Amino acid sequence: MRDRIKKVIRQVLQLENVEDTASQATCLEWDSLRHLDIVLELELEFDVSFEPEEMAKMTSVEAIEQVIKTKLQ
Amino acid sequence: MLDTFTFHHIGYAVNDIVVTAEYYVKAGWQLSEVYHDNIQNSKIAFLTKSGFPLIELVAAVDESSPVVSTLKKSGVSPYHICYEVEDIETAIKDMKHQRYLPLFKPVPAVALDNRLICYLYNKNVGLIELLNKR
Repeated sequence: MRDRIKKVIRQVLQLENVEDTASQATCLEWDSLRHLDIVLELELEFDVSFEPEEMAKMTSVEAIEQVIKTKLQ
Repeated sequence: MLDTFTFHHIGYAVNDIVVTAEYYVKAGWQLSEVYHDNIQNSKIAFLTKSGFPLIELVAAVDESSPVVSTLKKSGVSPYHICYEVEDIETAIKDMKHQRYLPLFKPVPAVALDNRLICYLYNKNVGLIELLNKR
């Protein structure tokens, strides 16, 4: 799952590599608008629909993984 | 879905409502009172002129205001179009099927008679605002 998340982030932000520790706070390209693009692409990738409160939590690779895991349970 | 919407206003991100409004007022527009929307953490006013679309001026209250990121990225600029809809919840549900992402659950907007609004984002359309008719 983590690799799929990182792939989405990498593609949206057009980065060569995304670390496991990547977050909105540490990645300059991950601004508020790109965050929405990431969420939209993750919805497609995992066939889920995120609520606004979940979107607000999804500010790092780890946090995204947690949110998606909870949704898919 | 969009074919049932009614255009309502253009949203304009500004640093200072009075400064931007001055240009329009000189050209015959009328400036409304300035509202403080505590939910959006924004200052909001409207510019009206007969025969022209309604313009909403949105300014930040502080660094956490949603419009700050638009101002940082694009400066003073139009950044959303608002549409009136009959039933905002139904509209949001339909928009989600068209890959629009609601940014929050509908909230009352003090500058619009406390009618419910919601912002939605689509990668290919940008930011739109929905306004409930009643």
